[in-house]
Amino acid sequence: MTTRSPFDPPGTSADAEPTHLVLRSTHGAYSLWPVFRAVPEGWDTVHGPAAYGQCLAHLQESPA
Amino acid sequence: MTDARTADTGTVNRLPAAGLPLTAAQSGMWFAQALDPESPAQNTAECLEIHGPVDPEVFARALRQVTSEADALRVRVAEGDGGPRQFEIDDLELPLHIADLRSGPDPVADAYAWMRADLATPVDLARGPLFAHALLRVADNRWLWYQRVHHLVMDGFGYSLLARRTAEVYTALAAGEPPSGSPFARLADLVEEDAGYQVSETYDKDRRFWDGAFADRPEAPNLAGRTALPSRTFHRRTAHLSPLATDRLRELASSIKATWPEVLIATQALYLSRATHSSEVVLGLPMMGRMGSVALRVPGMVMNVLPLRLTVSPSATFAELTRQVVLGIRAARRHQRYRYEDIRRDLGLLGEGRSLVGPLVNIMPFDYELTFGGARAEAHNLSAGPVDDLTVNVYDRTDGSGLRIDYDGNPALYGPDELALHQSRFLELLERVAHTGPHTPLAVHSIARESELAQVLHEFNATGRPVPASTLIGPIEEQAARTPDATALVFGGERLTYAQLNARANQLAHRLAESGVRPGALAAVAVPRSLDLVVALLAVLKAGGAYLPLDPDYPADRLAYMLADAEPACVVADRPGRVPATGVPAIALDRLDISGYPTANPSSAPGPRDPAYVIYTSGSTGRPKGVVVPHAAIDNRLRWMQHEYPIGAGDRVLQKTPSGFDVSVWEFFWALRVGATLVVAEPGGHKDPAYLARTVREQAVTVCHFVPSMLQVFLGEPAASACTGLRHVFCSGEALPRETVREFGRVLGDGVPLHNLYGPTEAAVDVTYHPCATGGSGPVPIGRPVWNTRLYVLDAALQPCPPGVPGELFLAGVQLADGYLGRPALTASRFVADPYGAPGTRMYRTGDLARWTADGEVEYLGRTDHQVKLRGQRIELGEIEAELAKDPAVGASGVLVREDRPGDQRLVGYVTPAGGAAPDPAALRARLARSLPEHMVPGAIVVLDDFPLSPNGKLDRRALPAPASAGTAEGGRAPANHREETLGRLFAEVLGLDRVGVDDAFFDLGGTSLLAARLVTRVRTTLGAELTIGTLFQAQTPASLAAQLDAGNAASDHALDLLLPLRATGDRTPLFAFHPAGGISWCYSGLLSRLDPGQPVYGLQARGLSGDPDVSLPATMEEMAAEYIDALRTVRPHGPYRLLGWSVGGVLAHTVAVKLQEAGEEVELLALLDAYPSDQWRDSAIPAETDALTALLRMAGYDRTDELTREDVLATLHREGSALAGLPDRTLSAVVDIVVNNARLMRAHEHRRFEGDVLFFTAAAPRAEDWLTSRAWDPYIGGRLINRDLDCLHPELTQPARLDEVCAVLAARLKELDHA
Repeated sequence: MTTRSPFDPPGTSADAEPTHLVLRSTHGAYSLWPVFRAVPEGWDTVHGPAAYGQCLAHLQESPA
Repeated sequence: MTDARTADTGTVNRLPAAGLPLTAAQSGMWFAQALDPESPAQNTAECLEIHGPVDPEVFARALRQVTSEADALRVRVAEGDGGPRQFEIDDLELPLHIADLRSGPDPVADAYAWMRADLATPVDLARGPLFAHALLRVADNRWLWYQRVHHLVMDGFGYSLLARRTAEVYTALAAGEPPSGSPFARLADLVEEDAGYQVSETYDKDRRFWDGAFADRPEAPNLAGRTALPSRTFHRRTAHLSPLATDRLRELASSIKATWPEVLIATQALYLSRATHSSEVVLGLPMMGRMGSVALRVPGMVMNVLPLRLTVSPSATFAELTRQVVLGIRAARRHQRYRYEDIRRDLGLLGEGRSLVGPLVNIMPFDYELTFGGARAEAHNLSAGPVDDLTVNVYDRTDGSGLRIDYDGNPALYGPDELALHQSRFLELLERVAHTGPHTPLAVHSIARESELAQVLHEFNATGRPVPASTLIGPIEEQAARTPDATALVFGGERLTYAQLNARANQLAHRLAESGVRPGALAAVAVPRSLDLVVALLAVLKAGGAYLPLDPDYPADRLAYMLADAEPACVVADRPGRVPATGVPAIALDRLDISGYPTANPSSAPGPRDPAYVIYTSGSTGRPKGVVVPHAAIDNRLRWMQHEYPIGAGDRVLQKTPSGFDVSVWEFFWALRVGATLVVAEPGGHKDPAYLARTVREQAVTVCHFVPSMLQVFLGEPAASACTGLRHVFCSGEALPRETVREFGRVLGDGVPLHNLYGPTEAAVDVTYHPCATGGSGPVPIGRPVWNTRLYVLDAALQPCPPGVPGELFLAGVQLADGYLGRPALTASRFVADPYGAPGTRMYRTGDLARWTADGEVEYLGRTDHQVKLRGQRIELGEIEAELAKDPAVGASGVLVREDRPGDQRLVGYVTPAGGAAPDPAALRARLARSLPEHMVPGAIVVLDDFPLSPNGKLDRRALPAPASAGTAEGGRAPANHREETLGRLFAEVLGLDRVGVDDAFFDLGGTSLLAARLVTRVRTTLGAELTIGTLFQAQTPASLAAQLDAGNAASDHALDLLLPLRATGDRTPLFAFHPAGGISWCYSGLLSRLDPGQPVYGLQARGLSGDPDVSLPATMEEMAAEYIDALRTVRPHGPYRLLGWSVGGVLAHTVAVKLQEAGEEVELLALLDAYPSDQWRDSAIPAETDALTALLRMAGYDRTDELTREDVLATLHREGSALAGLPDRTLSAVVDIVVNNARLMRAHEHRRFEGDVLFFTAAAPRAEDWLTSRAWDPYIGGRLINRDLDCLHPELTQPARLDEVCAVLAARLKELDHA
C-alpha cells in the first residue's frame, strides 16, 4: 500500500484520534502538522493535538 | 594435490529400492532446478576453519561414516512415472578432494578460489552425488573443510547436524575409540511425516490461516522496485554492526521484551517501508519448519520461507513495530509447515508471477563452534541457496565482534554498489535505532545516511541567488522606455511597437483603476488570443491588480463559478455576453473608447508581495481552486529563465498556450521584459501542427513551448523539420517520454536545444529544468531546482529520501504561491511548515512521486494520488466523479484514465444506477460538457450494476472493465510478425484452444505451471529460443513473449528481410524455404514445430516488401534466384543444400537448385509443395490485382469467398488473426505488385534440368486447373519424383492438419540425410 501523506485525511480507523496540530508562523501563515514530527522552528501551535477534521474546521474559521 | 576418492562406504542403511517420493519442500526445489538445469544457484556450501592438526585419512573415514548415516546425502533424484523420486546411489564413492595449498603465496585465497569454482559447477540431480567435500590445508595448523550440498537435500539446520556429527565421529576415531551410534532419524521417516502432514487437519488449519492472513493479496514491495528471474549467482556484501551497537541492540530488545533478531527484523521493515514509499511491507522469513522429534534429527531439506506482513506508520513507536514483529513471528511459527509455494498458489500469485514477499531476513541460528580431536573450528556460510531478490543473512558472532550482516542480492536486480548502499544505510539505521529510545515515534528516523542528508538537503539545493525586489510588470515598463520603437507584438498582420503597446495598456489601466483594479484586487480577463488580450493583461498589472484569466472556450457554468468564487473587481471581455452575467461589472473592449485616458504609466504599480495572477486548477473535492501567485515569485522565475536561456532583440517568442494554463505566463511576459518580440498565435492555433510549423517558419519564431503530447503531434507534421530557426524549445506539463526526445533530435537535429521543465501552478510555473540530450537514455529527468528554490523528496515521516529512493516531492523557496483563494484549510494542508528551511517558511507538497538521481537531478515517477494529467492538463478525477454524482439517475460514480493500448490514454467514467432507470451515458456526457472543460469530459461512460470492490471494500479500479468499443474486432490486435503468430499458435495448442490473441495472457486462459512447462518446451523446440518458465511468468502474452525473445536475441527479428531466420539455431544442415507468390515466407513457421528442433529453417522472401519505391522488382526469375543464392550463402556458403518451396516458391526452389548445381554445389534435398513448372502457366492470364488479393489470402491460409476489395481482404485477415493483417499498407501494396510480377516472371522462365530426386506433395482435391500434375516436371528432373497425394486444396497445404502429413515425410527424409 502506498504511503498516505501525513497531510491527507488519516484512514477511517484514526479519523477521531488527535493526530494533527494547527501551526501559525511568525509571518502569519497557517499549517496543518502531524503530531509525530517536532514543530519546525518559526512556527507555533495554535490548535490541537486534535483530530484531522477538527484541525481543518479550525483552519476554515481562522482568518487567512 | 591428491584426489582421495575412496571405495564404497559399505553402507547398510539403504533406502527402499523403489526410492522415496520427494517431500513438498523438495518438490519446490526440484521444480526450480528443472527450470534451469544448468544453474548452480541451488548449491549451498559451508566452510569450517579448523585450527589445529587434522589427519586426512581419519577425516575421510569420519566423512564416510557420516555419509552412511545421513540418507539424504546418498540420493540422486530422477523423474519417474509418478513424478520425481529420490533413489539410493549405487556404489557411491565419497567425493572428497584433499589438497595441501601451503606452497602457494596466498593459500587461503587459493582455497577460496577453488571453493568458488566448485560452487559454480552445476550438479546433475539424476546422477548425483549431490554433495562434495574438500579438505584444504592452508597452514601448518590450519585446515579448511569445505562442504557443498544441493539445497534439494539439505538445509542450514541439516548442515549443523552433519558438521556436529562429523566432529564427533572424527574425534572418536582420532582417539582410537569407536564412534557412538548414529543420532540421525531416517529420511523415509521424514518423507512419511511430510505425507502425513499433507492430509492432516493441521494442514487444513494452516492453509486457512495463511489464506486469511493474505486474502487481500497485498503488494510485496522490494528495494529494486521490479522483479527478475533468479540468477545463477548472487552478489554478497559482508559488513559488521559495531560491538557497541550490537550490545545496545540487545539491551533495547530486552527492554521491550523482544529478542535482537526481532528488533533487527523491525528495523529492516522500517527501512523497506521508507525505501519503497509503502506503508505495508512483507518480509520473507526463512524458518526451520521442523516440528517434532523426527524432523529435528534428520539432516535434510525441511526449511520454509514464510511471509511476515507489517504495517509501518511514522506515528508508531519502535516498540510498537517490534511488538507486531513478535506477534507476527509467533503466529507464523505455529503454521510454519505450510509451504511458501502453496501460499502463493492459493492466492493466485503464481499465475501473476508475483512475489509473496520482499527481501528475506535470514537470522542464522546455526552458527556453531566445534572441535575436531581438540582442534577448534568455526563455520562460515558460503552460499545459502538461490537469491530471488535480496537476502539479509545475519550471524550472531560469539567472539564479540558484533553482528555480521551479509547482503546477498540477485545481480539482475542489484549492482554491487547498490547493494552496498542499502547495506550501509541499514547499518547506520540500526545504529541510530540502537541509540534511540524505543518509545519514540518512528518518524524521528530517516533512512538516509548523514552524508546523504547533507547532499539532498543542501548540496543539491544550493540555488541562492540575490534578485532585486521587482514585479512581473516593472521590467516591461523599463523595456518599453529603452526600446520604444522595437516591435513588441505580432498577431497575424497586426503589430505593435513597445511604445504603442505600453501606451494602450496604460490607457486601459487607467480605465480599469476606475473600476477598482488596484494592488491586491483581481480583474478577470475573458479575451480570445489577440493583441487585445496582451494589452488587457498588461493593463490589469499596470493598474496594480492581479489578473484572472477566463478561457472563453470554457463552459458557461465553469466561468460563472470562477467569477463567483474569485469575486474580481471587474471582468474585461472582448465583447458583451462573453461571460455569463454574474453581477461582476463587465468591460467590453469592443464598446470601449480609451482614447481619452492618459498614456503614461499609472502610479498604482504593484509591489513584489502583491498578487500578480490567479489561475484556477482542478480540485479534488469537485471545486476548482484559484492559485494566487505573487509578483516576487513569477519575477524570480522569469529572471532565472533569462539568465539560463538569454534572449534579446532578435528573438521571437511564440504565444500559443491558452491563458488559463500557467505556461502562458512566461510566454506572455518574458519576451516583453527583454526586448524580444511576442508572436501571438491565432485562437485555436495551438492545436494545429501544420499551422504551428508554418507560423514558426514564417514569423521566424525562435522560442516556443509544447506539452510533450503536442510535441509528438508536432514532430509528426512533415513541415516541422523546417523549423530549424528555433533556438529554444521548452517542454512541460506532463512526463516527457525519451522517445519524444529522440524523435525531436531526428526531426530538428542537434542544433535546436530541447529543455524539460517542471512545476505546478502553485510554484510560479516551473521550478526545475533539464537540458535534453537527444542521445540520452532512460527516463528524462525533470532536473535541478531554479534560482532560490529548494526541492525535497520526503518519505511518509517527512524525512528526506536518499538519492534513488522514491518519495513525495515538496517545493520551497521564493516561487511558492500565496495559497488558494478563499481556502484557508486547503492552503494550510498543501502549503505546510518547512522543517528544513529558514524559520517560519513554508513548503508546498506537490502530490508528485519523485526521486533524486545520484548527481542531483530529480526524476518524476507519477502521482501519489488520483490526480492525473492528460495532455498536459491537471485533472482531479474526484471533480469529474462529483459532477457525475450530481445526476439524479446516478448512484455511485468513478472515473479513471485507461491505457488499454500503450500510449493511448483516455478518460472513462463509470456509474451505477441510483435505483430507478439506468443512467443514459450520452445524457451524462452532455451534462459534463456543460460544466467541465472539454479535456475533463470522459470519452466513454460505462453503466455497471455494481462496482467491483476490493477485499477491504474500496472501489477496485483495476477491475473496472474497458468500455466496449465498436472499432475492436472480437479477437483484438492481429499478430505483428511471425514470432507472435507462431507463439499465438503454440499458446492455443498447449491450452487446447482454437485460437489465442496476441495480447491474451497465458495464465488468464487457464494456464497452469504444468502447461507452462509444456509451452516453454514447445517454444524452445519450435523457435529454438532460450527461455524458462520464469520468462513466461514475466511475459504472459504472445506479444510480450515475442518482445522478450527479441530483446534476448536482438538480431532475431527482421520479418521482412530477404533472408528470414525462422529458426536460426540447430546443428543440422539448414532448410531454405522459398516464398510463394506474395513474397512472404511466414507460412513456413508451421514447419518449425514439426521438424527436429536441431533443424534450422530459413525463409527466402521477396525483395521490395518494405514498399520502398526505390527498390525495383527483379526482371527475371534467374535474377531473383541469383539474389537468393547470395542470401543463403551468407548462412551456408557451400552445399550440401536443402531447399523447399510451395507454389511459386517451388518454381524458385527448382531454379535455385539448378543454379547451385551449375555452380558445382550439391543439393541434397529439393522438396516441392504443389508447385508446377513455368510452361504450365504460359497460356493462362497474368493475374490482376484481384488475383493478387486471392493470393494474399491464400498466403494467410484462407480461401477467398466474398471479399471484393483490398479493405475486405484486410478485414478478413484481421478477423482471422493473421499476422499479415499487421503489415503496413505499403507492404500489402508491395505484396500485390510482387504477386503480379512473379506471375509474369514465371511465365517467361525457362527451366533447366535439376540432376537429382525431388520430393513432391500434390494437393489432390479437384481444382479448376485440372491439367496440373507432377508429371509436368519430368523434363526438368534428372532423378526420381517421389510424390505424395494429400487430400486438400492448394492453399490448405500450409495449414496445420496438412503440415503434419507433409512434415512426417519431410522429417523422415531429413533424418535419412542427417545420417547419410
